[in-house]
Amino acid sequence: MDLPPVWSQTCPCGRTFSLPQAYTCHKRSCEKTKKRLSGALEKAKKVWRAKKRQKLDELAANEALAGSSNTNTIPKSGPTNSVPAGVAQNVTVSSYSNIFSCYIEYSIFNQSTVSSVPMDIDRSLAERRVRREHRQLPKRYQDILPDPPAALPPPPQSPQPPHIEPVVSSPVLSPVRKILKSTRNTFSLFRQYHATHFPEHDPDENLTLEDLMHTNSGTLPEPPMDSYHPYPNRSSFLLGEWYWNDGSKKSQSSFKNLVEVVGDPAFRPEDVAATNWKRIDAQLGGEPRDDGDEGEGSWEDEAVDGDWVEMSIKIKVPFHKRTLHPGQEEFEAGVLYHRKLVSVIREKISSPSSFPHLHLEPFELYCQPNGTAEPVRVHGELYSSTAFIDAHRDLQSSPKEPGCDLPRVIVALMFASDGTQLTAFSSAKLWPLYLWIGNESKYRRTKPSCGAFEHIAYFESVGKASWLHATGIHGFYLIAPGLFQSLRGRAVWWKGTQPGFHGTLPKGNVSDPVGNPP
Amino acid sequence: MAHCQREMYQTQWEILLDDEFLEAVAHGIVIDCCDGICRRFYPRVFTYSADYREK
Repeated sequence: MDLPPVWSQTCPCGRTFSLPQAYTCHKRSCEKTKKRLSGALEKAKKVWRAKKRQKLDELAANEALAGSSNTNTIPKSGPTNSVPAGVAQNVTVSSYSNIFSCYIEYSIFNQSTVSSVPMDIDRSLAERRVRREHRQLPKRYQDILPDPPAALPPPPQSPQPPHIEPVVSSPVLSPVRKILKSTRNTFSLFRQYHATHFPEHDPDENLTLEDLMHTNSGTLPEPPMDSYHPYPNRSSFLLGEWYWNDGSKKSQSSFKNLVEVVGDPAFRPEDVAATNWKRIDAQLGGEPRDDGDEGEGSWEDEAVDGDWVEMSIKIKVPFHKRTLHPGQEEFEAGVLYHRKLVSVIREKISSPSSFPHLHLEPFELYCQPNGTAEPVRVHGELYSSTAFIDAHRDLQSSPKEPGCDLPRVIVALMFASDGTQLTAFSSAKLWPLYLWIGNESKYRRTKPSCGAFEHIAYFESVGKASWLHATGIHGFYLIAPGLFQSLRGRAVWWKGTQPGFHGTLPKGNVSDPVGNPP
Repeated sequence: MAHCQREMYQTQWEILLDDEFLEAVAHGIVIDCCDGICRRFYPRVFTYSADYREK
């Protein structure tokens, strides 16, 4: 016994289908369906045209009756809805409703939008579509803006949750120092100081959004105002263009081009006569524009170049007892170019450009999102590190300088040195020593534009001069590299390295034990 | 040679960490800050990142 099919559909041509796929397939080829569809579409088109005509008539009537109070209500009510509503009903009740679903949507859509906005009738469908305003991007595209730490000290008058209030906690080192907590910022970060009061100097309070974000502030250089730069005018430009671009040899066509340039009605000989061709050619060759923006690219610390000092490096080199002069001997191995650390620190701290960004008191940074019981320590900056806090605490608890009541502050020095190859094709090297101040935020230290690091010294290395171990003569000689190029020097070096060669060579041949590097 | 490199390097650091600096580490240096407050600053070396130069 056959069960009745779960799904069945009867085509207008009379056939019944129990499978949706078969019905879809048949619908594509059924002549009767196609005919009915085209008939229905024709009908819909007619209705639409009638409606449009009616709208236009109403618009004209509205304009004619402008000023009368009831005109505005006319297009919205009765006549607008009556015609399409009736048609739509006709269509929906028909048996092949699924075929005409598109038409129904169309008519309903028009009913709603056209009737409410009668002026939209001349615009395309896409233009008439109602768009969502204030649409939010998907969450993954939303950018969270940085937020500076909450301001210090927390305002005591505003009602705060109890754990955010400045709390006096019991385990303190000295009776006057206590744990002070700042309010939380949007990221639930708060600072915890271990001091008598909140610091008056807070580098974070003046932070702007620009300081926190790495925005592309470097605007493109403005194009020169005169479009013929570096040529002063059109005539000079055309002549110069002919000179440079028209080939290096004289030719008939080149001459013709020249005549075209000179014969141009806009060509003015007086413009060309005043042109400084040499300067223009130099500018074309890459020389910067001499508009007077010198100093822009100059180094900020050029003015303090004066505090570089030279100091000769003296090292002691021991010689074993089988050499002629055993024992230690002092050599001058080079000159160290450096700056005095104290003067660098002094300059850094007293400079108005860097001092506002220095954190003078360390703090612990915690994160406590809403609903969590225990705050989590956040590590990031040197001035919120345990090392800094320990150093600060040790300093504060150490005896003060006699007769000095000034606040005592740690200056965190961070050194770095690394060899720098100066050129691609030679072995010219520098070994600079840099200094950062850890009281400054790492976000400033890493920005070259902040000029946060200082050059302290350029290390010399022994490899710069060649060391020669001439055992028989003296033990150690520092030989200038140029000596190696001379045959005699090479012979001396060779003899000196031979076993059993002891002291027969007069000293003068080797050149003096060089103290001066080349 | 390694000895010389080491001597060289350490002598240079000795020059850098001069008596004036050591005095500052021990007793601080008084600097007039831009906010009008005089403070005593104590330099402390926290990090030094470098290659092993003496080799």
